[in-house]
Amino acid sequence: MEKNNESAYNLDELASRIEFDREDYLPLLSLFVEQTILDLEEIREQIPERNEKVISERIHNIKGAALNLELDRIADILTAASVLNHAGKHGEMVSSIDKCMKEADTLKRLLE
Amino acid sequence: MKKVLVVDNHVMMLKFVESLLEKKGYEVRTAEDGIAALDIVKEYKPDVIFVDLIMPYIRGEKLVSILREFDELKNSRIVILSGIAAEISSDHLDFGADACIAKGPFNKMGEHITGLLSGFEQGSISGPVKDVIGTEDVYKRAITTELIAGRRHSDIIMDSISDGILELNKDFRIVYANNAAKAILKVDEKTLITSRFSELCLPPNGHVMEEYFKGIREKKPLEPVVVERDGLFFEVNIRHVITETDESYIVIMQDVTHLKKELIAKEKLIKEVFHRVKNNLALISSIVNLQIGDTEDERVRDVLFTLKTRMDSIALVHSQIYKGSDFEYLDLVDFTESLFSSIIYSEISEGKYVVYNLNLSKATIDIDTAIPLGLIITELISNSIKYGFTGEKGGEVTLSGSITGETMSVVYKDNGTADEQYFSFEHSHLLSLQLLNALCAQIGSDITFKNNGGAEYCFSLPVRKT
Repeated sequence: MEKNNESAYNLDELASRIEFDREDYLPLLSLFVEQTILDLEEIREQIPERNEKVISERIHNIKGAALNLELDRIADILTAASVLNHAGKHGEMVSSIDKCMKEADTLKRLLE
Repeated sequence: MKKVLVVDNHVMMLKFVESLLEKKGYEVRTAEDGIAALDIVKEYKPDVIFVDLIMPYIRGEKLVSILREFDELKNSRIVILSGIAAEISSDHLDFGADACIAKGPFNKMGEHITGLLSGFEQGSISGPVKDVIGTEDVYKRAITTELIAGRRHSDIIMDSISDGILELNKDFRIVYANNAAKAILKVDEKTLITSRFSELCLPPNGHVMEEYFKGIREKKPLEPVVVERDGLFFEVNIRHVITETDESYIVIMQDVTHLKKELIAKEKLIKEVFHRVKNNLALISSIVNLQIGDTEDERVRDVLFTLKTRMDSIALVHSQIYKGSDFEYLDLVDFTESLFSSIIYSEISEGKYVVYNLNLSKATIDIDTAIPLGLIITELISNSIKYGFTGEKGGEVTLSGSITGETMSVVYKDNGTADEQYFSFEHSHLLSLQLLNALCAQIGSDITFKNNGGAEYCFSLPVRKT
């Protein structure tokens, strides 16, 4: 079970989940973190606009990549956010997006 | 070493497949969209091409069917690598792919990719693979199935529309064409997709089209243009579409051949009517001319001659209209030049000369202005010759005009006697002066006279600046 802090992520363990060497895994994770932060920022901008289409596209992008990398916790948070988006409950989405951003920031710090 | 091309709009996916396969000794090229992929295969012949289905502009299915048109790629294997593989079942074979792998966790997906490539190389997989590989790692989503069905339905509608529809990306390269557009342009899809619209010389030449798109970028109003191709006429409308994430241009080509043919027939008919009116006026003018020669009474001869000159002036308007390309507007300078030379040639008597100067701004006038204007000028020149140039030699007339807005202020001047009994509206009762007033009223103007070293008249007329 992952914990929601830096020590919860171990890069070697993450790489081994998808049977990658650490050196091959890091560039992929770095790309994921970089794109995820951009997408989450875009989602934050679109929430007040209630722009369901763009939010849905961005969630879909992050979730797909998270599942590819078996980052299940991020995928789970976004699954919940996606349900709220389609239900028009954009106000309630904010905490999910914040949670997801925290996960991405944790991974970013690990990569540094 | 086997060559591989990976087409996917997700950079992480490209990086994953690239590093996976390079480790296995493959030479890998990557493309982030269909256009980049089609540019690459013009010079690089991969043995295996991996194609994502959901990509901007050129979707995976379309890209595969275009790749299948390249003779050089007939032996290449094309594999769909998609996140919606679970929902498309075995459709990948219909659009020309050899196999389909479901996107999933990288470790599983990596195994499927390398396993499939080994199968191709070792010959254990020689034909198309019907079943989607890796579906056990993903689950089928009802919403995705519905979206795919909706998109296919939209494709059917687009391909049933009789108007040609193209989508251009922001660099004006064609990324989509419906069936009607392909039929209109008569270019195979392999050539059509990725071409620049202007390179297809539609309308008349590429430069015109580039200028047109430049205008679009500068947010100038989008006017439809009618273009001819293989004897057919199409009205081309272009819409600039901007979304939150992208921009593109939608080109709609509507076959207006029947309307254009009707228009050409009507234009011919109108020209013919103008031609016949002009010929009839010329015929009457000739008869009046004969009558002049047969009449000894000087006053009657004078009346008939004046009448003939006025008819010639109206005939000239009709002649200029049918010789030109515009049925509504005449070039003012051309028209007055012809009018002056025609009137002076017919009015001048032996031994006299009349020099004329035209100093008019460039403009066009409509036919409702041209006929009264022709008669006004006829009266003014006739009066100058008859009553102003009483000496033996003749004189000089000048017509000047400057434009303010849509009005030209016109000054007609001669260097004759300006005897007020013939020229002044206050002191003369000549029919000619009454006509001048009435004709100027027709074009919405007053006319004033003053003696300025000769007769000088001022009036105005509605014009279009050119």
